Amino acid sequence: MPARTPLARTPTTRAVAAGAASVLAIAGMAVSVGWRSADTWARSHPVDPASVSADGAATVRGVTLAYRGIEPVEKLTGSYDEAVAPEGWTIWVASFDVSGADEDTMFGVDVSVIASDGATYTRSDLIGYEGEPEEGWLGGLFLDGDGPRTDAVLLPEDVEPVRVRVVPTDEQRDYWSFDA
Amino acid sequence: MRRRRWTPGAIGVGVALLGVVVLAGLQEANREVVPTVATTIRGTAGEEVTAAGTVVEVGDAWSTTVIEQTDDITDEVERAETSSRWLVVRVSWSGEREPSAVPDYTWRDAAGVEYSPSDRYGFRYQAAQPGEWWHEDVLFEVPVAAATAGTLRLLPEGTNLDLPMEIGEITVPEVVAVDELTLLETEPGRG
Repeated sequence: MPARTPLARTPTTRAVAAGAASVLAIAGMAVSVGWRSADTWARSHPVDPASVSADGAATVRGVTLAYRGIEPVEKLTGSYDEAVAPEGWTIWVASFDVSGADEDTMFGVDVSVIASDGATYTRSDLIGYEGEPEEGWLGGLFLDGDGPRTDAVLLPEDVEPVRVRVVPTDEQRDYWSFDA
Repeated sequence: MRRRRWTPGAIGVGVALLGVVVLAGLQEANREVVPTVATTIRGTAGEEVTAAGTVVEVGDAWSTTVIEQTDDITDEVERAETSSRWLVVRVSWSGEREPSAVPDYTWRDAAGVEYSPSDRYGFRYQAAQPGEWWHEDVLFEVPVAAATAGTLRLLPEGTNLDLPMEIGEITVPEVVAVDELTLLETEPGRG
């Protein structure tokens, strides 16, 4: 056994090993708890926006959305009726081309617009029913086919879109995000 | 200096200890998280109260024995009477920074007894955009003594349901008694 003085400051090999094992154990606990919690949280929050290519397209879970822009319109002409903006508000229509979606795409999406006032807007029910296009809004039921799709929001007159987000309604971690 | 060797026993104890710690961590991670912290935002009828991302204003309140409401599907007017009292509270709400709704109401009378909305009120969930107002009549069926004054408790829910929860408690100091009342549907605008 090695000699030790009562005031020895140099830790023994065993002490170093015990300390390392303790650190490892604590780190293991932190990782197991933290990873699981973070993973659970991330599934219900949009955290990973897909990279957008030069042509404005981004792919999430095999579905590609090509963002074509967002424009103010006077009114929406739906399948059955027309929708106009209430006084003080403007209708903005976001356009996309969808590819890679079919009847096996078992998720829908929510479309939201982050505006210049910092608030987040989704399709208002003031325009959502009367102004719904024949093919339906992009945000809604499952994405079941390719082609051009639109969605719309009402924004206050002095507010403009800054970012358009399209988030799956089931697992939301991966999502589409476009500069407006 | 003699080099120390880890004995199989020491290695086994270390591995077991690490296993216990990891299993404890997994157990903790899988534990159902129940919100235990709630902040109550209080106000009075006629003023705006912001709770959990929803701006809410309680307007008038009435009590009556006869209500009429229009069926959403058939457009038929339904008339309902009660031997106690119908309590009708008009509520307006708007999103603060995100679309938001008020999915749950409770009426607490002066004695602290709480009542859920009547089945005739049904379940409504109308999201209001930031700055966009909707209003509706919330219906309770309560004893006569509970229909004079009380507190409307509401649990707003934004699209981002983060903790801590915020619960609104809006004092309704006066309930006006009327012979009968026609209930409003959920409608846009401030009631």
